[in-house]
Amino acid sequence: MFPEANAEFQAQPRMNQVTIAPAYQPSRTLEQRNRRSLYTYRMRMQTAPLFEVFNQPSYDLSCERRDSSTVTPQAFTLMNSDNSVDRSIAMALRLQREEDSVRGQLQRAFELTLGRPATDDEIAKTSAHVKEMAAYHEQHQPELIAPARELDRTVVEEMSGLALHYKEKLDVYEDYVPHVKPWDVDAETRALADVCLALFNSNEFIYVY
Amino acid sequence: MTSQDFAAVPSTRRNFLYSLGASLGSVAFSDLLAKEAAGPLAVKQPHHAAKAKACIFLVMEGGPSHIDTFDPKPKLEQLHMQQFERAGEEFSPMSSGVRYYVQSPYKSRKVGHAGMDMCEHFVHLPEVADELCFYRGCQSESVDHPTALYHINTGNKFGGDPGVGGWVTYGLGSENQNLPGYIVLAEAGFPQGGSGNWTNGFLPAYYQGTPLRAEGSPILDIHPQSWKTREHQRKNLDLLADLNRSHQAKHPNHDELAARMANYELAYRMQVEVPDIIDLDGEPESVREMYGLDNSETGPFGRRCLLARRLVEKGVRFVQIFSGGWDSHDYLERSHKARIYSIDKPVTALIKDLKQRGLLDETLVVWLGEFGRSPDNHHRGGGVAIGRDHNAHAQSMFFAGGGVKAGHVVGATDEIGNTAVEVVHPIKDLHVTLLHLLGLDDNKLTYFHGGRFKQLSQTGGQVIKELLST
Repeated sequence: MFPEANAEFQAQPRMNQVTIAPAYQPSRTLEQRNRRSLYTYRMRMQTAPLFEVFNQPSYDLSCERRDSSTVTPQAFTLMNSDNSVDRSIAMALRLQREEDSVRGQLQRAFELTLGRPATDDEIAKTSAHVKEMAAYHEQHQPELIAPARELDRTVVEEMSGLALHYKEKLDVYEDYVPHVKPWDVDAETRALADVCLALFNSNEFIYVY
Repeated sequence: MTSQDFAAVPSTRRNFLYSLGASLGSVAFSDLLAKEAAGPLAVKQPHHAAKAKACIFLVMEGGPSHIDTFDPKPKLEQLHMQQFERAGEEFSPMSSGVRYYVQSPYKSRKVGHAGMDMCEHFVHLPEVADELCFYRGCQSESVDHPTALYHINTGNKFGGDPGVGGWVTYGLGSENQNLPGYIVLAEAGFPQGGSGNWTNGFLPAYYQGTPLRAEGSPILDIHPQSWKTREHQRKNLDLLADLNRSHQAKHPNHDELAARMANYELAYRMQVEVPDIIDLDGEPESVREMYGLDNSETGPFGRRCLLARRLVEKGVRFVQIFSGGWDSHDYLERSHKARIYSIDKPVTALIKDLKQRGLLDETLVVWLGEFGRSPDNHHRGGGVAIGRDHNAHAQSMFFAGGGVKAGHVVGATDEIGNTAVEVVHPIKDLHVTLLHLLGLDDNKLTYFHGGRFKQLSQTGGQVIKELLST
């Protein structure tokens, strides 16, 4: 299956020997694409950025032992990617479904991500954050971004050295089932999602000791 | 945990034996660990006095023809269109069918004090000819693009191993901790073999080439969504830092927790620094003109060359640039001429600019392709095609700056340019030589993986002494 990936990565032209490969398109439905990375289709020539920044072993060598590292692009991916934001929105919606009060939602957020109750100090800080960010999000509406339905391609033909221009249709988007996006939810949910995003990025969530 | 930590915590019998060997001094391991403490990209001492401290590695993807650029073969004029029989046992798509000799569509002339050969379409490069060291002896091993690209870029034709730039930053660290030490400037479409050409392979991910993309965001996800202001990001990072601080207090001995926290702050600074360094609008008109930025043919490559100069100036250790489209099986005259035009002015500007800023002495500039091209061609689409196939046995490359013998031509190919015959070396010797100029000894620059110490040359190689200035 093909998970959603960075939009620029999806649109990037990809050379195969002699010709240009079709564009990366994510799987159409949530059931198809929200699965463990084990099931993802792998392209040797173009590693999905999420895996690449987290030391995915090369497809060309056996890997006796996984490496881990902390490099800056990981921060970009985990903090800024559409995928991270979408996951944090999904988490915020779940919290709102399961708990009525913001306090209860935050308590549940700590239980789900870190497997422990939140401290009073953590509840105080994150509640204040939700309040402050809700006010911010009231003032900053996300712009709706629709996925491109086609791409402009230019290929330099191998034999002649001449450039060819054409449009590539992205058929998956004709009946695509998107995730809940930031522009689908209210300011309060986006504020709660900010806390979820911070939790997903926290050392305590990433490392298990 | 980085893989270098495993000597301290032997988890398997092999790791235990390895740590034992390390403690006996088979490698300067304690030294490595000490450096690790200062950060994996902290500046490290070279193995010997370096001639160059940075490298700009220009890769002409597709295989530029040596015969039509820097190694003319007048003999082919006599043989033009005569049938060619390839001797030997090498069979490939590049040696099949009815084959015939092809003469160069271009004239060549002698330039520089040494009288180097350069095709007529290099109009600017002769101005810096005396800075260049041409090499005609290198041989690759494959006539397939991805394989040969992996070989020239990583030392392993099967791919998966670290890029040359990865080894160099592993060996030397980087002088600018706010930018990646190893930067890749590719075209909008990556070269064949993709990111495998700058992978960290089995080295830790710090040594992965970071592509600054030609279009769109320079680094994927460097900026958050449009409705998130910088102040909003700051607030969220502050919350994250808060969450991390109490956790870190409980785990004071885990360095990577602090390293991860620092990365978020570095990322926040890079959001300003990276767009700043790639913004060439502030460059004076004279520089824009020099690199050909405002011409649609020379602009893209000129931009990458100018960026490379700016990055090296900022202390980036290794910049790898790609220029595609050199695969002229047909229409050689038109397509190679266009490729030459696209790089001639920018490369010349790069060398001149480095020189006038006093950076050329300490910067090694390398220009090469994944292989050369054949003196002959075969029928395509039922007819004669004036082009050349791939040729692993002969190619031309040149170097400038950092300790190379300027104004010289080293090595030679046979009279039709089919194979190298003088100062002949495989790619691994070229790599060993590049490391040598950067102060690194290939036999000491090793990393334990897959049960053995691995190195860029795979199994050891030799320095090509003829290329060195001293």
